[in-house]
Amino acid sequence: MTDEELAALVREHGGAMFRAARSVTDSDAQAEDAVGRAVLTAFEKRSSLRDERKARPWLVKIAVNCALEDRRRQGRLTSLEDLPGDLPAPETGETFSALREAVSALPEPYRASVTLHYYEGFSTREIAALLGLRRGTVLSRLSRAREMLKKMLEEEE
Amino acid sequence: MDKFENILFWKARTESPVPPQGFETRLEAAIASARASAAARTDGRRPTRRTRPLWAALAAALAVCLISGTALAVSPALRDLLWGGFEPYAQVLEPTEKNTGVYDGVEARIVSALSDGYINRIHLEIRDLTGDRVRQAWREFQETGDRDFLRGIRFTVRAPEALHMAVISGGRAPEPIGFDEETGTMTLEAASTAPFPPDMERAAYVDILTGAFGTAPDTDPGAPLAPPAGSEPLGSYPREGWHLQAALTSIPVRSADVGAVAVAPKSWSAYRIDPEGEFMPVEPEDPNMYFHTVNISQLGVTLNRDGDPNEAGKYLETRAAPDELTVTFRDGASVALSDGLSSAFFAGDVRRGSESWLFPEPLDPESVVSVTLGGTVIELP
Repeated sequence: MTDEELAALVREHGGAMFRAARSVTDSDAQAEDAVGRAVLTAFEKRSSLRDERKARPWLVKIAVNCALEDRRRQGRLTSLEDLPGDLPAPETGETFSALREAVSALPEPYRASVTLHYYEGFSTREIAALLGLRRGTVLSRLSRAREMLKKMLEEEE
Repeated sequence: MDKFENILFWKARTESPVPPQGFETRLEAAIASARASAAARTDGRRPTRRTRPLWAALAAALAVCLISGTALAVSPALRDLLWGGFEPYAQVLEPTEKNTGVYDGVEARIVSALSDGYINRIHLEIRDLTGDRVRQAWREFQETGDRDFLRGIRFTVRAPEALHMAVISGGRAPEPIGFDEETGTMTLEAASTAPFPPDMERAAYVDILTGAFGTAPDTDPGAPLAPPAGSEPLGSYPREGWHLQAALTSIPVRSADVGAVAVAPKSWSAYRIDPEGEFMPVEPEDPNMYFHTVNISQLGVTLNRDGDPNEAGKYLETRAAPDELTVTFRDGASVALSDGLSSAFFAGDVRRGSESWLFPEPLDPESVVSVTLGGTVIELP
């Protein structure tokens, strides 16, 4: 794959890379940092992309990995056991919709699975591969996230 | 998929957030920087590659060591990962000549083979005795999701007494589920349904893994290797690769007779076998499937049909497992399972179909009060 071909793929899927990275970071700036390093990694490891049709999950995976690496380095990766019993209230005053607001208020382990599944259209099997989780864990997180979102949206109404 | 999930999908599609202003410009800058960096790195060197004959020689020597009893035990980390919730049912299999093998310098070992009579779950460990291929493959998998290295690994479950029967209906390819950095050992998990006729002894079934690491098996039906001791030959065996075998360990099953509950799965499909033996999709005459028993173990839930009114001697194949099954527990909690497998076998002229869903982690079968499929709640007596 030539530089130009890979650059075109990055441009095409840059938005998805950003959204996926944003789902595991706390700010747009952190997500952009992760995307920047993901682009560098993609050019370094282009030989591992054997099928261009799989470019999107490949690039998103790299972006998520870079974002997770940042969080680990900052010691901010949340374990499910560390989550508080009560969820934070969704922040208001943003331009996000009610759902987006609720998703952004989900704890990180759930937010990533929800974003990748509902916003980016990845299957649970693909998410498991992307996040290095067992598929069952992804299913459990989605199930629990749906319950939380439902509750948050009902309270909103 | 319930109504709320539909709303989620719809809203997400219409409200997808956009990256912040100036993102495209910064992305272009990142691309330019990456291209420049890649160009600077290109110096024409290629990584040194070890030769196959060396690997083969080492593998032969190590195989001798292995048979002499020097195989590593399962690493503690992996043991915790896999068996924490399965105690006391699951046992880590001791390495034997049958369940452990070395091919091309890579050792493979079946460390667990569990069956509840409907669902089989098999765990395999692999490690590179001569290099770092397994570690590299794991890193690659972590970074890119690439699982090409698994393409040579196949498994089947069958009964020794059923000569050429290698029934795996809905069998699932192995998935990497863990890696032990200290020992360089990767753990794989595979699952299949086990359409066992009820009058056959579950424990008699064996699991066979064939193939190799990183390459497609080189099959040659005309010159098959001898099958593992005590087994009848399958249609063909890979000419080279691992040949592993382990008896399935039976785990207890909670079985509930639910009469003939009518369920209309949302995504079920029906097929009829035409005179040429091809499966032809057909519209079912009755939108319902009728389930007679519910079986639950720590591995998952299976709904069984004792024949199907739709069949009427027409050999109709039905599958509902693509639907999500919701399991409700005594404490009111529920979990939606979408990891489903379908299977079927004939007992005389009666077709017995099974739809199985795997639990994401071992769960207590006694704590389940109902399962819901296609909007129908099946209460367990």
